[in-house]
Amino acid sequence: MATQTLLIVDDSRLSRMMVKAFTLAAQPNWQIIEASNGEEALSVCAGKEITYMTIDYNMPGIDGLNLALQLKDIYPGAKISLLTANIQQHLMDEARESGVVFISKPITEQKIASFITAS
Amino acid sequence: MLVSSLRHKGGGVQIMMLSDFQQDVIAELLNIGMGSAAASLSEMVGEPVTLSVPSVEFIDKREASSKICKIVGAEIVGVKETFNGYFWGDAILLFPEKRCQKLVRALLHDTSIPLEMISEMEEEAITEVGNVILNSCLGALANIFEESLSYGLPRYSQGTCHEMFDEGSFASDKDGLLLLHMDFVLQETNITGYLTLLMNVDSMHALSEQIDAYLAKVM
Repeated sequence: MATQTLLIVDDSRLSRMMVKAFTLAAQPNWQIIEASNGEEALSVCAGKEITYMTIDYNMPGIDGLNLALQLKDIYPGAKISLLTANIQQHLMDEARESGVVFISKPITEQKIASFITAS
Repeated sequence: MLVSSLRHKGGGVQIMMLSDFQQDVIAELLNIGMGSAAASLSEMVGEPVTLSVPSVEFIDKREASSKICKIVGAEIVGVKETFNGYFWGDAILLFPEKRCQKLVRALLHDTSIPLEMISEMEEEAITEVGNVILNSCLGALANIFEESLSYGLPRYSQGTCHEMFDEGSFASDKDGLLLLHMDFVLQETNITGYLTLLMNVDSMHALSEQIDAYLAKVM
């Protein structure tokens, strides 16, 4: 399997650290790119090949679902998850309808492992 | 690094420090707690609830009360619960008073109920909303830390915003308070509510120990 690149977008440093640690525990060779908001995400991933993304919903600036839709246009083949504490049904439905995997916080090793290993 | 200097009555200055990372962790835990609470509220009112980004500050009580009252407005309806456990404090849910009847209608999913009946039910309905939100939020924090937090019964108040803070468990605290704050909006009825957690210095130290233990466990 070719090396994959995961983009982590979250305004919480703790959350980024946890996703990164759990991803590297399962896939030590993956590249990780981090951003703390939507605008930064769009800027840091420009020109890079991103294959997986975990995106928080509730961030300063653009919300995570809008960001996911924008990134989906740029990376139609990427597997994108909305990783959020906002566990309202309407948001889960919107994510599902947009083809985005919904993962509820708190972040656990098992949730991350299952997202990055499922095909 | 957040550094707050707070002057005691006696003239001494206490420097209280929370690292950026500790603030980040506290904010994220509040975000998880409030996310869970908003899901419960959304089910109760049958409409989406938008959440703000959480804020964490260390300020003195007067500043805390001025800051919140400036946002919420002078006349408020609130529900307060005191929580106790490894760390402790007050959890307060506030709504601007003039929006409360609208909230009760949203809860009952009925716009045709007569005004006098709404007024009669207001206290009970707001207390229940407070109970659900504060319990979801505190319950999520307790679960994350794998500690039990006990909380008293929700207490309903109506009056001025400053009275709400003056009656708090920390009314006599001079050392400053940790203020965690998040607001939420019911999208369709356009009602804004405010969730505030207040902890004193000793409780904040206990919380920071819990955070270190949590980080050691998850990382």
